[in-house]
Amino acid sequence: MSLRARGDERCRAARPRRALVAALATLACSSVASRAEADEFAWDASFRVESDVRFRLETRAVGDAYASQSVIAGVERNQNLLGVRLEAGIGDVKAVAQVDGVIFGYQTEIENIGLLTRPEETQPWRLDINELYIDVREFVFDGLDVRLGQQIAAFGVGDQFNPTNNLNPDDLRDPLLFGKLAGNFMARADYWVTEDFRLTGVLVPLFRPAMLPPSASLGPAAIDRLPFLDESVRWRVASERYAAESPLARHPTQISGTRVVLPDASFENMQAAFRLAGTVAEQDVALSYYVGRHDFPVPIANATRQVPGAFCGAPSFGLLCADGRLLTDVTLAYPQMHVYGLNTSGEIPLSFLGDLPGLGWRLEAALVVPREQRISLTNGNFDLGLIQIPEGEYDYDGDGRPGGGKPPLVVRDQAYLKWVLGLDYTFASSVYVNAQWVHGLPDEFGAGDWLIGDDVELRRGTLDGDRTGAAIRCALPRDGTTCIREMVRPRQADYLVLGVDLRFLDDQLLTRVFTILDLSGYGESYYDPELGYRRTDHHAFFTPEGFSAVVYPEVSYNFGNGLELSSGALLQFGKSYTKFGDPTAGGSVAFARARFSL
Amino acid sequence: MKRTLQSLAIALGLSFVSIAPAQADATGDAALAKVDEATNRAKTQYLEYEATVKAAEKADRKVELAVWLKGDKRLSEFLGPADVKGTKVLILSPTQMYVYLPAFGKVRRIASHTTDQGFMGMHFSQDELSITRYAALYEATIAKQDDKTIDLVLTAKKDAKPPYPKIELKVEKARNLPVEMRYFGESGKLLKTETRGAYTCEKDVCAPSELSMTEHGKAGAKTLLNRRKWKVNEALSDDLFSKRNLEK
Repeated sequence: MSLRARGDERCRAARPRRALVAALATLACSSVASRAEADEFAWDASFRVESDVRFRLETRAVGDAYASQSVIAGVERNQNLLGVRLEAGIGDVKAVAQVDGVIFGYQTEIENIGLLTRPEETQPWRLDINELYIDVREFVFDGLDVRLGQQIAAFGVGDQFNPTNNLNPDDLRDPLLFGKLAGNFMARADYWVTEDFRLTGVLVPLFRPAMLPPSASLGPAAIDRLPFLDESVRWRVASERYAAESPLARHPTQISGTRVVLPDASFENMQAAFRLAGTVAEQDVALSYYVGRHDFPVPIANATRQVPGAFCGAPSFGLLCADGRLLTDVTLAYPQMHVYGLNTSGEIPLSFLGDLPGLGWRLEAALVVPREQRISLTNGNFDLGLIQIPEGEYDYDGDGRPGGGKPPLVVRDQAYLKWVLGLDYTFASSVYVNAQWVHGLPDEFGAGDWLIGDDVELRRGTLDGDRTGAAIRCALPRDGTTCIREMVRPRQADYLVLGVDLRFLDDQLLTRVFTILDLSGYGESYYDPELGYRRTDHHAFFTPEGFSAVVYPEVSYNFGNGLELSSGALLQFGKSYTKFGDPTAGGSVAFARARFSL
Repeated sequence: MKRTLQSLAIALGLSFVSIAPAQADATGDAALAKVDEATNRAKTQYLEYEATVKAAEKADRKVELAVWLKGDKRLSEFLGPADVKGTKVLILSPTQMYVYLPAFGKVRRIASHTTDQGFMGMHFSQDELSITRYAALYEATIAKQDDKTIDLVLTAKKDAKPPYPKIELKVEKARNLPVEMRYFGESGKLLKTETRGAYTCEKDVCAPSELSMTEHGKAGAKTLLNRRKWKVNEALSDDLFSKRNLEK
């Protein structure tokens, strides 16, 4: 029996709620023995061993002729995990540790032969401390519970998609565990006003960023995905980049480094959340407020320098050569935000249709108020033949003088909504269906959807025409309107998430298919010379250009003794500019896994 | 996504209540009312079970769980196997239920449709175990009786919607204890047979320590439940049956 169950059985019955009553009750009832039993030391332990091998089904690459990054088809990961959960406590005090030790993958390059003597080089491993906290119930006041330490505070009622879960960073290292949160140090207090209503306050002293999948390393190679909200700046910068690559300049742009700036460990940068939760007419309702930061970084500074010297692209691109490079160092930071949350869930009766059980429903909504974030663009002295640019800040307003105007926005201080609306039902005892309408995935930040705001996310920027033409038509006159073709999407997109579980062989065989369909489609923006202005063609989600989806089939067999074997695939579809066809999403993988719990 | 785990707990939480000393009655309805009275006598209960799931040409599977009962509120916790250990289900009403999944560290609201789901092939289901008061759903006639048992035939009341249209219920006459239930489908076909035996009593409250459910039409399909612990009418705080407790 678990620690908590033992405590409840023996102790809670004799534990009154209010202090005055407690004193009387302690005298009145014969709870001395119960208290003594409940205050005995108790502990519990559980272990999990998991072996997981995955294969990437296709090579995915990002970049251009001069610089590209790829993840190759083959073994995507081969990891073995030992998970340990320990609980120990006396009475109302409990300590919990949940730690995963993971041996994962291998390295293709070891810097020197001496490192071959170090096992962590040839057999990398890591330790994930997901939970390590002390929990005190009835702390000082009756009804007050306090939890201190590394923990996970998951308040959202959505399944795997939780726009109101902001206290813990997203852990996206394993795409098969989408929705997983990483532990973070926090102090949490819950005051139970009644058995149904509670107030919660959480303080997170130090910010911890989201952990990204290995394929996220491809991101910097996608230099066409300019983050500026102002489309005129976007088109101009893009056309200048293409002009710099032209035979007139022969200087391609590359991202040479990224620097991630974490918030200072100041009082101002602490995260906090408050929540009021309860049950009204058998429906659960919670209101919450969070102040902190988005856990995905956005660029706040680009510093570009010219590096002379002949440089040739990869042979696979035809050995294009240049006279030099424009290397850009990108600084990333985590923008501040406030989030007002609503969580509600319950059951819709279907008795009017006959003898049918209720339908489950849940709504998780967040009103996100981001803080404005701009990006500064600076450069060293450029000598690109026809064009000379002095060292300094970018000419934002295009008046020919460096530094004029404001740096462009990458996040507007406009409030926007994210939500998850879900329904679930069971048919014929063994078919479980879960459907969710998700508006905004965790990495989507900033206003811009069919409700609020017109800003878009650039997914691909290409050149209409040749590079020399771009230099003459767009870069020199500082107007990229006629040169750049863009594929864009809403900053908050809509998704249909549909999952079906089918059980066979006395429930031991589970067949599961989950799908995520990107419903928003994509806009193709370009200059139409016949019309004389830019136009945007919308590619709906059901067209080849607008289609993007994930299909995640899995078959698992539970032997009933703690052993489970499973196999499946995470298949991602769509053009390379789409959400799931994007190479940085990692591409399709097949997997096999064995798990034994004891 | 282990929300299916709650179905067994729900089922067990809604049943296995106790029985009291018997009184003879001439009519079937009266006899059934006595069974109902006897099976709803305990104010609180704590039970631990070990379930053995049997199926033809398969190794037996074991499931362990604990159940706390108080009025309409029920809390169940899986104690084994290890991959479901720590999973808890709280039922506050037929339409307000929660599951705590330790792997997710989160309490999730679940709807009553999930009670239709099975769990690890167990043959006890919500349908038969949710019936705690037969007289509300069925009319009873006495098919036969002897010195020790009464055989009742239960047929669905006109406006009631019980899970089975007909049940044959064998009652131990001395204490009004149900010892065998035979569940029939719409076509009159025998679907399942449940037995309850090895009753033990605490004062006027009795409960079976051995139960079985045989599913006809599936060769060898049977689930045995053995009660390992049982506590009756011990004080259980309302706090135990709360979301707060689920998270602890």
